[in-house]
Amino acid sequence: MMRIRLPVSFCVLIATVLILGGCAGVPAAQQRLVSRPGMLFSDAPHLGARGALAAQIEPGRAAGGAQAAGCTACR
Amino acid sequence: MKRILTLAFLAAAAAAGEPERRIFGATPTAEFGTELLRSSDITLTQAADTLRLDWGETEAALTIGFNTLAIDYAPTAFDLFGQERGRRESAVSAQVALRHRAGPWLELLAGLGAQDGFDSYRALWLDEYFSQRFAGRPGYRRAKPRNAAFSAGARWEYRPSSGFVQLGYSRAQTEVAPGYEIDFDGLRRGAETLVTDSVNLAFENVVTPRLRTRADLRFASTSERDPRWGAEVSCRYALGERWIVRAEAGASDERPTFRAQYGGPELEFVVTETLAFFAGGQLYRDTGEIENALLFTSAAPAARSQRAEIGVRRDGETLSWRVAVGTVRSDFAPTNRDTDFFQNLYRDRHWLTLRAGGSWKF
Repeated sequence: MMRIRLPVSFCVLIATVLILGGCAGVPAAQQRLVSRPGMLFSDAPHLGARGALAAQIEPGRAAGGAQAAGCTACR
Repeated sequence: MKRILTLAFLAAAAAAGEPERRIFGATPTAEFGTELLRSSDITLTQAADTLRLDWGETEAALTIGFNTLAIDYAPTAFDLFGQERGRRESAVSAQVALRHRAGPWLELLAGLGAQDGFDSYRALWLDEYFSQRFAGRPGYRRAKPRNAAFSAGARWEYRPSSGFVQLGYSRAQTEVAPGYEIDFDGLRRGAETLVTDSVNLAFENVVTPRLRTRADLRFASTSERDPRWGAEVSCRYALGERWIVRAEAGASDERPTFRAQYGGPELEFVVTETLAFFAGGQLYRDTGEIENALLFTSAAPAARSQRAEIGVRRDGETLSWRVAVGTVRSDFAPTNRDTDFFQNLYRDRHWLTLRAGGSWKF
């Protein structure tokens, strides 16, 4: 049972570390590099929103059925 | 239809080229995206045009989409009843998404969408298989796949400009192309309507002046299936003024046996403030599907794929665009006794991918 859930658990662990790491916060004045277009998570097609066709040959990428939101900094 | 959508977008963009142009009192932005996935016997395309209207506190995005699927159906050598046949299908979709700022740090989200037509080449292939076997028999119905979905959520900026959390819920009802079985009682049709409830929790953080991360946790429950869990982490790191590294890793898990893992890096070289080149690759593997929207006997075997892509992006004041081309090699494990009739569906393929997208601020 643990073997089945290990990859998801690992990602959750990494996610937790990243979330906690972000609690410190970075002032807006120091965000010049992370505000460039190539550094954003966005659903805009010119910023690299994930193609929908990929899920047809890699079904494990989708959580299943309705697509959930893909980013938090979307406009 | 795809040409009409493209022309409509270009016409709208050209007509709205004047400065300070407003539609219904809102600042408009047009976006377009198109995608091609092609192998020797399958060609898939997807095109979508979006009009965003921004009133300040509220934004609406209206999207019209058009997909095409073309397959060269080929039965296995021992399928005495099957015939080679080309199938061409299309699907249209429409979606409305709303975003409203309810407070300094809180946004409310809502969406509504529908699609009419096949949504995957696999469903089309299986539909052709069942059609050749059972069309005309009592109990067989011509497939009319379609789906509708709504979503709602909220986004909280819990740390100004550097910490975001977003919670979303969606429900989709899908009319699928059903599978069939035959026995002494006649033809039996599989499930025709599936309902999927999904919950998504995402965190985005600026961890350091050079590092932006995102963590995405997903849960989906579909009729007659066990829940599927998913987690994905992504990061973007600025190596300097000109180099950016992007990476992601994710996994999905559905009891009793489905597991999938994927991930890979991408490197971007910033040539000027408005021009960048990028290249990347990804690996994917899963253990094979447990069941699907049709019959369990058509479930896909274990799969692996390797993806590589290169592209260019231009970020302009009014027009921004991105073009990427790549290849995907997908390998399936051998079919078993239950799925041997789908050997040609689940065979190894080399895919060409092409993606282009743009955004025009009027």
